[in-house]
Formats: sequence, C-alpha cells, structure tokens
Amino acid sequence: MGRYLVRRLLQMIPILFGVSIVIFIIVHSTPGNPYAYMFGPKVDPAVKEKRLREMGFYDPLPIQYVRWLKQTVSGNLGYSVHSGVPVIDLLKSRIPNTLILTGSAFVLALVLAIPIGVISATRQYSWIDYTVTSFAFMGISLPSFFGALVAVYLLAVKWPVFPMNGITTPGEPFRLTDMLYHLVLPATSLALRDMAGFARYTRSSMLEILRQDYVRTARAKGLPERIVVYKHALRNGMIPIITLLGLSLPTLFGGTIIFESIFAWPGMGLLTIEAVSRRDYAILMSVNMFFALLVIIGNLIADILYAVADPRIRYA
Amino acid sequence: MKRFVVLILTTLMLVTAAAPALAARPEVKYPVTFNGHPVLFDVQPVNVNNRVFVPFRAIFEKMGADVRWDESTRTVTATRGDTTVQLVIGSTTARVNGQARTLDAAPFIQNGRTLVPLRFVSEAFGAEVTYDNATTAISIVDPNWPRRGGTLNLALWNKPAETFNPIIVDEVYADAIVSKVWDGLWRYDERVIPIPALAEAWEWDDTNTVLTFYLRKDVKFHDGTPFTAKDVIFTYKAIWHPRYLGPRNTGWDDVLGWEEYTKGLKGETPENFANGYVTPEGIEGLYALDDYTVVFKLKKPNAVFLESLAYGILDHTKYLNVPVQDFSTARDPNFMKLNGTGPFKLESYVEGQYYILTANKDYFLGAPYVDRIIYRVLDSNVAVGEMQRGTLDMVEFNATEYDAYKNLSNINIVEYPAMQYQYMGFNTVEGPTADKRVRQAIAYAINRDVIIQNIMLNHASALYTPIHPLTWAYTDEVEQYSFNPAKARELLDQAGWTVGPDGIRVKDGQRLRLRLVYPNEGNQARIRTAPVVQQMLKEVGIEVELVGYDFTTVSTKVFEEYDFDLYFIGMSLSIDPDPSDIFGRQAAETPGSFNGVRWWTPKSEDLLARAKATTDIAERTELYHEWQKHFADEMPAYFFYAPTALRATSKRLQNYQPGVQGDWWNIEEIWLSE
Repeated sequence: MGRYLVRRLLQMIPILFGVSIVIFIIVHSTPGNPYAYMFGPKVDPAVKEKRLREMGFYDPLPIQYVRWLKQTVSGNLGYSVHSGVPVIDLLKSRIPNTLILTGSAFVLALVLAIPIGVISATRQYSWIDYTVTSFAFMGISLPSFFGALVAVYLLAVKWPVFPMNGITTPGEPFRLTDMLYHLVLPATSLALRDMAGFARYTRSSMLEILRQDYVRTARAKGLPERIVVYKHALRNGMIPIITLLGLSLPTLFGGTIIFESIFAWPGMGLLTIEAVSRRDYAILMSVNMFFALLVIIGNLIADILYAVADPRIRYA
Repeated sequence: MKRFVVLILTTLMLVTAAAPALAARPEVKYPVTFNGHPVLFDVQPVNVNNRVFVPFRAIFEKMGADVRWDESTRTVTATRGDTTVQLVIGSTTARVNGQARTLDAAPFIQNGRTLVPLRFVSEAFGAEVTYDNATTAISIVDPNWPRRGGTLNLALWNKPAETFNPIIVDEVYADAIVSKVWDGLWRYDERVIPIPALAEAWEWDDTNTVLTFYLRKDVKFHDGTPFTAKDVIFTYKAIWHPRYLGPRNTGWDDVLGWEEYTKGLKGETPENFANGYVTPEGIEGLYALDDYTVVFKLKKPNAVFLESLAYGILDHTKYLNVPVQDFSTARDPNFMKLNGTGPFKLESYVEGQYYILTANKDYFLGAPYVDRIIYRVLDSNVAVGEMQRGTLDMVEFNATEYDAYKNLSNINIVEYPAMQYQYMGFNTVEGPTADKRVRQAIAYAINRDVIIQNIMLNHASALYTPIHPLTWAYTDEVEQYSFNPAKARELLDQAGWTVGPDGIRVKDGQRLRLRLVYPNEGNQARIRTAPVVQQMLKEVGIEVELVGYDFTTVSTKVFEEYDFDLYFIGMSLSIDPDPSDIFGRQAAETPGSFNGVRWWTPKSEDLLARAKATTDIAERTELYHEWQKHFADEMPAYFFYAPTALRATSKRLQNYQPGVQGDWWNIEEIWLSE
C-alpha cells in the first residue's frame, strides 16, 4: 500500500506538469488581456509598450511559462494582475468559504441519500420507492439553482425565517451560530441537488447486492434483516458511492458557482468567474491548477477507499 | 428643456464670473446652513433692518416643506407635517397654522425672487437659528427634522475591484464607495450646476484661460490631516504622470506645461520621474498662490475643462513614497486604507462580502443624516426578493425586470432619464460597411420603434446621434432613418449588392454576411436586441452572424483589434456633450480608445474643435447641431435609444433624488423615515 501510494504520488508530477502547459496555453490564448484597461486611452503607445515590456507581456509564451513555473515551484503563486494582491491570500480567504458550504452540503447529502437509497432498494416498488424515485428524477432534471431559488423564495422572502444570503451578518463579530444560521438555506439546497443522484446510485447498487448469494447466506444463517442489509450488503453497496465521492472532490470546489452567486457566498466559484472576466492570468492559473490537483487527488482517494470498502482489493 | 436652460445658465455663470486674474477670494455674505448642510440661493441673502431675508423656495425645500405660490393673493404657503406657514408679499402679518404673527419686515420681491425673513420661517418650523457676528454665518438647526440615524442597505452586483482610490477607480462598484469617501473641488447640485465642494469658490479670468480655485480652510481628511492646495496639485500631477495607470489621463493637452511634465522635462527630478514618484510642487499650468488657492493655466479656452476637475482629492502626505504605478495595489501602503474628506468613512469590510461605511460626523458640508451604509455584494437576480423582504433600500433594475418590481407593494419606483445610450457601431474602414450606402441601408432597415416598444417596454427614448437628448446640444432635426425597407433595398442595389438565389445579397461572388459582435452577458435588453436586428436585416437581404462574447472579449475585438462588421455597446456619458472621446480622430487612431468604428472626417474634426474652443453656448449649440447632421449622414453608428434609469426604493428612503449627477450626489442629506 505504501509503495503504491508513493508511486501514485510520483505519477502526479508529470500529470500536473502536462496539465499546467495545457492550462497556460488556453489561459493565455483567450482573447482579451488583463492589461487592456490598465492604461487610459491617451497614454503614449511608446510608454505603454515600454511598461508592458517591463512586465514581460511581449515575451514568447514558452518564456512566460518557464517564468511562471519557476515562480510557482518556489511556492509563489504570483500576484493578481489587477490589485497586486498575492494569489495565495485570495485562495486562503476563498477556500474555507467554499469548503464550509460544500462540505456541509456533502455530508448532509450523504446522510440523507444513503438511508433513502437503502430503503427504496429494500422496499422496491413500494410507495416510498416511488416517492424517492420521482423526487430524485426531479432533482436530477431540474436545473440545480431552481431548488435554491424556490428555497429562497419560500423561506427567506415569503416566510422570512432564514437570511437570504451572505455568510455572516455584516458588521457583527463572527459567531458560529450566526454562520450556521446563514448556512442553512445554501447548504440544504446544495445538498438536495447531490442527494438525488447519490440516492439513485445507492439504490441500484443495493438492488444488485441484495440479490447476491452471500446476502442469501447471511439471511439463511438467521441474521436479523437490519444486520444483513446495513452490515453485509451496504458495505459492498457503497463501492460505487465511494467512486462518486472521489470524483466529486473537484465539484466540491468548482460546481457551486451558481449557489455561491445566488447566496452571495464568495468562494472559489466566484473567484474563478471574477478572474475570468478580468483575465487575471495569475489567479486563473492558480485556480485551474488547484482544480486539476483536486481531480487527481480525488481519484487517488477513491482508489484508496475501494481497498477499505472491499477487502478483495489490495494495492501493492 | 429644463436642463437646456440649466446648462445655459451654467455656462453663463462661468463666463460672467470671469474677473481680473488676481482677484481676491470672493467674500461670501450670510452663508446659510441647515443642520450643517449649506443652503445655496440663486439670489443672495439680503439684510433689511438687521433681518436676513432669503429666497423662500430654497430654504423651505431644504427644510422639507412643500411650497405653494399663489399669484393672485401673492401668498407663499409652506407645509411640513402638521405645520403650515403662510406669508404674503408686502404684509407684516404671517400665519402659522392659521394664527397670525407679526413680522418686523414684510416679504418682498427682488430680482424676480420672493425673499422671506430667514429667522421667522425657520423658527416657525421649530428650528433654532444662530448668527455668527464675525463670519455672518447663519446656522439653522432643526433638532426634530429630519430623522437622524439608521443604516442604509445597498447592494453591489459584483465584488468591487480593490481600486479604492479616486484617481484610479475604473468601475461602478468600487466607485460607489469611492464617491462617498472622497470629494472633488466642486460637485453638481440638483439643477446640474457645479456648486462648491472642496473649493468654496472659483473663477475664470478675462481670457478664460486662468482658473483659480479658492479652497475651504476647514477641511480635514478622515485621519485629521488638513486639506491644502498641495493635495490638489499632487492629485492632478499624479494623474498626468506617464507612469499613472488609471483612466483619467485624457483631455489635459490644454494645460500649460502638461506636455513637458509628461515627458519628464519639468516638474519632477529625473530620478523621481523615472521611478514614478510625484511631488506636490507646482508647474507652469498648475500651482498654488497660497495654502488655500490653486491656479490652473490653459493654453486656450476649453469649455469642458472644469468638468474634468471633479475627481476626488488624495491626501498627498500618504503618497510621497508611493510610485504612482503602485497606487491602489497591494504594494501601496494605503491599500484598503481609505483616507478621504468625504461624508463617509470605510469602517470595515470582508473581501467579496460586504463593505460598511460610517458617517463622517465632521464632514465639512454637514454630517450625514444616516449613520451607516452597508453595501452587500449580491446577485442581481435575488434583488427583487430582497426588496420584497425589505432588506435593501434601493436597487437599480432594467426595463426587462419592470414587471417583477411593479407588483411589490412596499417599494417606490423611480424612473428618470439617464446619460447613457446604446448603439450599433459599423466598421467604417474594412468590409462591406466601409461603404456609406450600406450603413445607411442598414439604418433604414432597422425599426427603432419596435425595439423601444417591445424590448425596452418604452423605458427609453429615441436618439439619432451621440448627442444625448438631455444635453443642450441635442437636435432631432437630422436624418432619422425612419423604418423604410424599400429605401434600404434601393441603397443596397446602388452599392452593387444584388439579391442572390437564397435571398441574401451578393457582390462579386461575395455574400453580404456581417459579423455582429456583442456582449452576451449583463444587459438583457441588449442581448435580446441582437436577434431582432438579425431578423430585420435579413428582410433586406443581409445575413448577420451573431457573435456573442463576454465584456472583456468584446472590448478587445471592438476597440483594439477592430475585428467585427457590426457591434453593440452602451456608453455612459459625462454631462458636457463633446463626443470627441468616442467619435474623434485621435480616438480613431489610438487602439484601445472608444472610437471602435474608426470614423472621422475633416469636417467633423473641424466642428468638434471649434465647439470645444468656445464657451459661448449658442455658438457651441450651432456647431453641434451641424455636427449631428453630418454624423447622421455619415452613419458611422446607428443609435438605438437612450434608456431611462429605473430604481426601486424602500418606502423609508427619503430625499433620494437620482439624476444625471448620480444616485447619491446628496448622500449627506438623504434620510430614513424609520
């Protein structure tokens, strides 16, 4: 297992390297540049060119790339082209926000989805199953922000129980309860989006497992149904969910742009959008590399969790 | 029409205010303040038997009273709440809630204004009046009106860029904050006339080339640093420094010594110059006579010069060691530490979430009535819900959202003409639209009325050239290209584009296919206009390819790469009508400036230059009328409409008077009724 892990981690280096080249080319070849409005319209073109030359704007892409790479490898993610703020500071302020929102939504989604999936599998074609199934299809078919807007309309406008948006009450010192209060609507509506899918996966996986011989054996030896389902069947039934979890890691950070925007929850999603619209190369590079890293790590985690869930899987 | 008059008055004021070059600071007799806020009169206060008389309308309106004038009985009636005050010209008997009171002197008419005794009318409404013998200043304080305090809740649709610096700020969200923290030398009042701010007076000399500002002596920055002439010189020199990276370095060519300064020949040591450091020492065209008198000297009269002097003034003592290229970046020690002179201070913020401004109780134009402003960064799609819930006091919205707001019972809707327009630019240099006849044909093929009615739902007015209907220079006596597809077809035929087999016109084997570049984000009405124009042009045999991009890409394609046949864009305008930043030659020949159509003609340049060189409003009007006719004939850009601005406000928001001066130009006098 240890050697496997080392090998996988080493493999990440060339992958990240390749990814960074692709991202660098894409980012720098989008039309528009961050310097376009840095200068007033009447700045002497010679002055403008001199300034841009100093900034290295006219250097060939490979040279710019090597400069970026050197800087990044030495731990400096660069500075926002517009504000000069270190990119690392922006990431530091945005990553926790996103993590709080998506993490709680994710946990909530799983806590709800797994029992629901199991119940609708064990009672296939019952009214519970039909209800869950139709609910799940609704969840999958409707655009993800729809639920959020409905939740806002009902619980923040029509019956104003929760705040409409924001992370904390402006101007008040940070209190955990205040943040949790603000978290209810966004986390729940985000959880509902993911829950539908998770529940469906759990259901189909459980349906398959429950028909397997070892489940029949467990029942035959007289184990209570609860133990059969939750201890013996569920452990195997979780394998596809684990895959899903690993693959969800990047969406945990990037898949919430609409939610962040509706709930005024400035996280990585909004940071990305802001950086794209201003063509802030330094931020864009860091954000994209961060997402790439998450994809790779997510896959690795999924692989490791397989081994945990399924004793037949061994890595060497 | 009202503004027409107003702007004429403005210019007349500038011209008639011209006095000898070394005139002393004008003495202000009987300056009146109400709750600390200056009250300005168009006829100066008059002392009769030790009673100061002032024009009634200005003082009553400042006190929040509704004023009626009855010509037949020559009676002024002012009502606020349950108090009614009646005054009759020439009569020493006044009535307060019906009860007769005797005045020491009767109201009278002077220069066409009715003057009333200041102390009497103020006290009738429960205000206290104090007179300062030394300065002749009169202070009216009404402890009960209006209501003080409260938090004004406002929204920003995007996180503001961190450009919290009045000479660097280049986008509306940051400017919402910057404009409340800093003041300029002057500002617009409700009549769109420049009135004193940091400068208590200014005057042009006889030649209209020397502009002297007399600065207030009682102004301090938020941290207590006194405001002086050095701050003004420093701020404008920073804008002129070639290392300056903001958007305000245009229109300074007429300042004496400006060119030498920008080339590093004068004004800074070579070392400072190379590194970007700015000093507050004067140059030929901008210098201090003393700590509180600043002079701008021009090479020739410039009608729009004063308008460019409204930028917020920086505290120079904080920037002496900051290179100008670093202003408002993380390398600037003043980054996110806002130190202005304005009515509000930045109290706290959380990046990307909210910005809290608190009232500057020592504001030199009087402490604001509200205590705090909270700006939250919100998605515009949830704004209607916030208004319904009552958690915002004002939002701006578009014509396409009108129905959603119309039905809310707890808001007011305010609609007013905005200094903006939306237009379609033509590539006048390359491609089929380089032919004037093709451009004219397109203009005839578009039905402007349909767009205004069906897309803007009539929340817009027509315009035909870049001269906005709100300005005095506007005329509609130009070729309006009223919808006429037959004429369009005829012009296209003349231009050699004949109808091909599939209905699309062809010339020399080339199809008449035009690329329309437009922003596919933001303004929904503009996005909806694109397919409508596509359909209208198809009717006359022109195929339009819709190419939607985000803003940054559109700007690059249009203003730098000129990669389009047609483009949509909107502009917000300054109050002076001079269009040369958008349709002048220099802008056409400088990539990155706003003349994306790259159109100019010798005739146009001549008219614009002459109009700028005179301050005679009648002469300027005539020149701009001629220019508009020329522009309409040349058709370098088709103007769709000038939108009206739409605002929803909470019912508690009082004295909110948005206009071309902005939403919050009178922020210190805005108050909340609950």
